Amino acid sequence: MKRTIVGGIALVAMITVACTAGGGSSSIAPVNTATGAAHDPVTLNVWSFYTGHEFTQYQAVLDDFSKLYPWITINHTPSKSDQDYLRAVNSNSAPDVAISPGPDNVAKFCDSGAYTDLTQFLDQDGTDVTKVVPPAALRYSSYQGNQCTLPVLTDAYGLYYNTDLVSKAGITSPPKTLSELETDAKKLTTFNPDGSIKVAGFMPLNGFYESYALYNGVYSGSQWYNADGKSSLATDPSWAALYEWQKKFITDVYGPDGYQKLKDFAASLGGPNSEWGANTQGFELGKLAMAMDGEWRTAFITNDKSKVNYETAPFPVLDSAADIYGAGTIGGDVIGIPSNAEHPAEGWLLLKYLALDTGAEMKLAETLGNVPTTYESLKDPKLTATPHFQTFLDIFANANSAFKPITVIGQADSDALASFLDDWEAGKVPDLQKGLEDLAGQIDQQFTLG
Amino acid sequence: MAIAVTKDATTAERRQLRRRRGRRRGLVILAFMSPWVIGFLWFYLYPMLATLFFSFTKYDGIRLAPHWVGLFNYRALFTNDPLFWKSLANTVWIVAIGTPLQILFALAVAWALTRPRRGQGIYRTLYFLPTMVPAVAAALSFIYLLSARGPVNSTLRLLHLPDPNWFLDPAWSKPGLVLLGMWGVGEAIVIFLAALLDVPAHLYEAADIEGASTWQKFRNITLPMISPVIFFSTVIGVIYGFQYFTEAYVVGLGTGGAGANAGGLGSPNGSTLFYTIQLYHQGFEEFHLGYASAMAWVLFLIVMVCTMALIRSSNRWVYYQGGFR
Repeated sequence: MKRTIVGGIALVAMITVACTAGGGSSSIAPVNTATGAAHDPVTLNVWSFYTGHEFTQYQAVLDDFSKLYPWITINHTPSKSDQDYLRAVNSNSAPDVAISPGPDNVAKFCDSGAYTDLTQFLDQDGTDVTKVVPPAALRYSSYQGNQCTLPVLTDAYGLYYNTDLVSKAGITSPPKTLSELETDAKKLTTFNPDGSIKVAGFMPLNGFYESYALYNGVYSGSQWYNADGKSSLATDPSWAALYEWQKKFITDVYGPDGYQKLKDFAASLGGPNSEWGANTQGFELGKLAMAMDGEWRTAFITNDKSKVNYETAPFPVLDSAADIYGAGTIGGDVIGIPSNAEHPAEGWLLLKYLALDTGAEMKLAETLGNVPTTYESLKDPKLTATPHFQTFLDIFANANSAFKPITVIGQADSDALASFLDDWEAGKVPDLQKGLEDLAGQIDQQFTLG
Repeated sequence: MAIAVTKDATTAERRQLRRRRGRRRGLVILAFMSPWVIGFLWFYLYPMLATLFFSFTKYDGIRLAPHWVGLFNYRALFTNDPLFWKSLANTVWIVAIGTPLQILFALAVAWALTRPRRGQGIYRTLYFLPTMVPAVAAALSFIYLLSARGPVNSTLRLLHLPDPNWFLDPAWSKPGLVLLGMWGVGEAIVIFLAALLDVPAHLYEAADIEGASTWQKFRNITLPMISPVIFFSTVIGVIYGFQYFTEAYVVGLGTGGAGANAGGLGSPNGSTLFYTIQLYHQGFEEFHLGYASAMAWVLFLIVMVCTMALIRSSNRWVYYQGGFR
């Protein structure tokens, strides 16, 4: 009987291995784009995460591409995720071009061979991508020398502050360190007669709006991994300092029951997703005096017809990392060609257009309200002329600005951190150092998980 | 002697013929059953054995062929994954609290539905209607209904009652899901109603003659007579509870913010992270197919043990009128 079971399992294993054998990528002939060259019609399947009006705006740029290459028709599918892309590669039904909302899974795409290394296309075209795209964006779109994606627009995170409330509180300049942020937040926070929060100086909870960007190490100069690739969350003291600051901030500004007050305040706005509503977003309503947010908020504030008067600045940094003030979390769309795409050469034409063409980048950045990712498009006068937006262009240009390190475990490390912070904020982690050690162990384990 | 030999030969031939006919009959039966047999082997047994094999491997389903790691996935599960324990605890909560509440509610509603003399059809339709609403739509509706500005909390505030943050508060998110579950117990109501209407009237008449109270009749006649249906609902409810997914998945993603774990899975604060959600996340979002397979087998064993325990306990509290066991 035992032998039968073992035999059965072995048979299953053989079938499974046979069914799951992967393919590799070989050299792909470029498309002849010379004038007068004959082409068969091609339909490019493009998957993106875009939805709603952003999908329409993106489609306009794809239409521009179709005008340039009339034999290529684009079939653009919305609402796709990185998981969809990986599943499609696995089941041999991948699109020709895949657009991801962030770089979290780039290492996975590159390392697993799910996406084609674009170096061959860049070499064929004689393009030195380092002369077109700033290094910060190239860092998060490649993994260990494999440039399997290219950045198309990026986000940069900074401080938004309500100038009316700030002037009323007698604050003359935006805070530069987290201590100054706390001092200003105390002045800006007001309570209702029942003790609930009326206006929050700053909302420090990780799960609220974009505040999570504060806790990913960029604003504290923290290291995610050491030279051996092991998690540094417990060994780099700046992590503990950052989270101790958060705990102190909550009790100092909002009182001993500050956590619950902040939760109730978030719920009164409609929860974390109220971020995306025109009549619900706390900063736009004047209920948040200062906020961590991305550059896109400038466009949202205009589109939502919010009456808030505001300014932007780089987000304050941990006191011990004061020298990196001006830097910020960055990271945006990445675009790649799945390894089993049907039309990789035509896919590259589109990739090149979206990621490296100045005109296309400018149009996308202007319509979507994001930071462009080529040196030339960063000079777009329409973007640089907007004072609120210049802050984010500067943040992107800052040498210390970064996305968290990309690894083959994708966003499993930041997910684990988010879960940990949920418990930490709720007071369920009595010993921070021990908690960080456990967290580091969990992250390290992710690399070995089957 | 010759006759005896002939007789023996005939008997042997007959036996052979019978055997051949039996074999042919077996083949015909097998041919008729083959769609099910093939389906069972290919879509049920093979995946089960495959997951058993994967559970001892490192396998991402993209590039790597399964690589044997022995018990590593199981060890990791039990020793270094707080989300595994969190998801298990949440699931046990929904099985231990949510399932009995749903059964009690369905039973109470079914009992109430036996009372009205007029409009029974309308009431039954009304209570069954929510069952026809897709789970995702129901979950999205409840996110709105139970939101801070939703009608439920507005009414509670009007009545000067506490208005919890429901799906934004880890203490209230699971009760919110239980409410959603109770709203959609139409199927159980129909089954209980059929069972209640099937209790022989003469038993109640005899009890009336004996002067039994309503509670005594319910306790000593109704409950034993419908106990097979309660047993069935409990077993199905427990199995369903351990596989609880859709509503919690939608609620988590629908209420979690940009900084939440995995885009909101389990929000708020992991309180709606149920076992199958964590399994799905590991298997089909993180592509740890070996690890997810180990989780699937642990779940299978837990459900198996619980079901066996329920079946064994049924000897003591389930009454079968027909006497079959």
